[in-house]
Amino acid sequence: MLIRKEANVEVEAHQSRGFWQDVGARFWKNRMARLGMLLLALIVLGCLYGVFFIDYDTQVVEQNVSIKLQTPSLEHPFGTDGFGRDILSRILYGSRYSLLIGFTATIASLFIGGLIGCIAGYFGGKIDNILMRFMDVFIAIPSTLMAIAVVSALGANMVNLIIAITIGDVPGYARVIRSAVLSIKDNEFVEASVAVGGSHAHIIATHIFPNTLAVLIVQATLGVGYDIIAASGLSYLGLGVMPPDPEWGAMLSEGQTHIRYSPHLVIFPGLAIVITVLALNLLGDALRDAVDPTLKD
Amino acid sequence: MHKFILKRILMMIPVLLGISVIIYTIISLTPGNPGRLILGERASAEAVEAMNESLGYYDPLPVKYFNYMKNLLRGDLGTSWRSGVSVIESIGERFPTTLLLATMDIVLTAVMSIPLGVLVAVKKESLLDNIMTVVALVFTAMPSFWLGMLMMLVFALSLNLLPATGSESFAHFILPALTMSLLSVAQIMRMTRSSMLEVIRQDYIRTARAKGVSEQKIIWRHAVRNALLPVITTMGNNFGWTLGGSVITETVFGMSGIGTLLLTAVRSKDVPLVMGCVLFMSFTFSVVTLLVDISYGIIDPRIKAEYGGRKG
Repeated sequence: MLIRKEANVEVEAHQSRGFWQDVGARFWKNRMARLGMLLLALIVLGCLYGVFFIDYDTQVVEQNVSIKLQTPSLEHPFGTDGFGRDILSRILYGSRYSLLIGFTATIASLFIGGLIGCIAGYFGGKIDNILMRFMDVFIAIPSTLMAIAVVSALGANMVNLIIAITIGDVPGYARVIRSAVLSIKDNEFVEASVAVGGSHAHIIATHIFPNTLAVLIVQATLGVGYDIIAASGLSYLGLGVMPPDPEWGAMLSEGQTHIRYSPHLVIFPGLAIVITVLALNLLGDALRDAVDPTLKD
Repeated sequence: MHKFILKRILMMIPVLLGISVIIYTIISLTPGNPGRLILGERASAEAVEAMNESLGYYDPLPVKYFNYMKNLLRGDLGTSWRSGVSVIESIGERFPTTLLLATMDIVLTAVMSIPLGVLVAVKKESLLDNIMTVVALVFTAMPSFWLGMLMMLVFALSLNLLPATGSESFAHFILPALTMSLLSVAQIMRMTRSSMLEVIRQDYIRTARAKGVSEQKIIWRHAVRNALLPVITTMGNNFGWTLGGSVITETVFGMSGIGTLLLTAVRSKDVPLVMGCVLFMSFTFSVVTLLVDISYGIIDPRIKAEYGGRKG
């Protein structure tokens, strides 16, 4: 009964409005989506505050041992760390690393993976076979190990961290987008474009790619959260953003030495990661349900 | 059935070769002078040069790779540049810790997530279902090392129930394994739930109901068995994540497994050890994937039929 009702709604909607308007409407009706938007807005505001109002030299890295390991107070809402630095300022300043790495790695891997997936799916045959067998090999290497190998070869810094995470993500996106392309390729509008003499590049760019966009956006939103966790994990291991820079994973690594008597050093940076990733996952889940309501069980 | 297993094993060979090429190429990019690392700062330039020469450091990459693989097939992964100990021995020494951790993780995950997943599927949209959805959301957003620290804080440092760091006794493994499994429970539980809901809609379940089979029997005999197939595959695939994740978990809890061995090797630029650890873990992952694949073929009658097993 429920299933039939949903199907009717969809047909109606498709007749009256465009696909994206429809997705938008379903998205805004979702309570979880609104919660995710709110959380993400707060995080972006916090990040902007850090960019404009927090000074790296005096508020982020300057040590003041006389006030070290203070518990949360009015002056230092999240307390101070082992070097007497204000944890709240460091978390706000540090949000830029997670957001920058998460979004850059996701966009880069989507672009590369998307290109590979489009080419493999569109041309099929030998090209598809070669590209996808190559991707199979990459998928067979656990992504954390791949990232560790890349960072150990190139050295630990933020750019190499982004490269490492991107390489690990590409095969997954290539697979998803390839299967999306396969389902689009046989549509009549593609055939029509071939018939009027459209070039391969033109067809991929104007007909195939825009139609994979829905799948892409959902994957990307969930991917950013995953990448933020991966980046903080590698920084925690000392293979990413290095202390004294206040990347959240690096802060946790520094804080762990004081875990027994000053647990606030590890609680707040961890909460920052969880809230950021939670916001992105809520958005991703809501987008997925909005793009394809039949997926919702 | 034998044909199916043989085919899977043969298909794995090019993948393993591919993995070794990629990993060897990436890790070979590591800058550094092995002779200097082995002989130390005091050694003369000539001695360092001679050492590099004998290691084949100046050979072109394909030659080096070929030699490495030739030794690998004989079970020799080279020796550590730092300690001079054979890489395969170091790995053999550390592997039991990682293997026990991974096994405990998988067992705990299965024991916690499958019954929960079935339960929330049967009681769809109940209070329990909603609570578990929120719990799953939060856990999916949690980095493993942070959850590990919280577990350590609560169960080891505050309640003094379990040891905080080390890997000397079985008690040392409980918190790390629990940390790793709690993170997969969220995912596997959701998967079991949606797989169950999918199966419950199938015709054969309706047929069973129409025949008057008890609800209990329908769920456990007919639905769960079919719903578990994709769940098992995911758990097998997660094993790679477990191996990668063990680097982080072992670091949090200061355990001496392959993960921490790899990390020490990376920090000291000990290329043969890094290479050996990464290759060993990737190969292990591939073998586990293969075993899951084969067991899937044994469980699923459709695959069995395709390869001329007993027709049922």
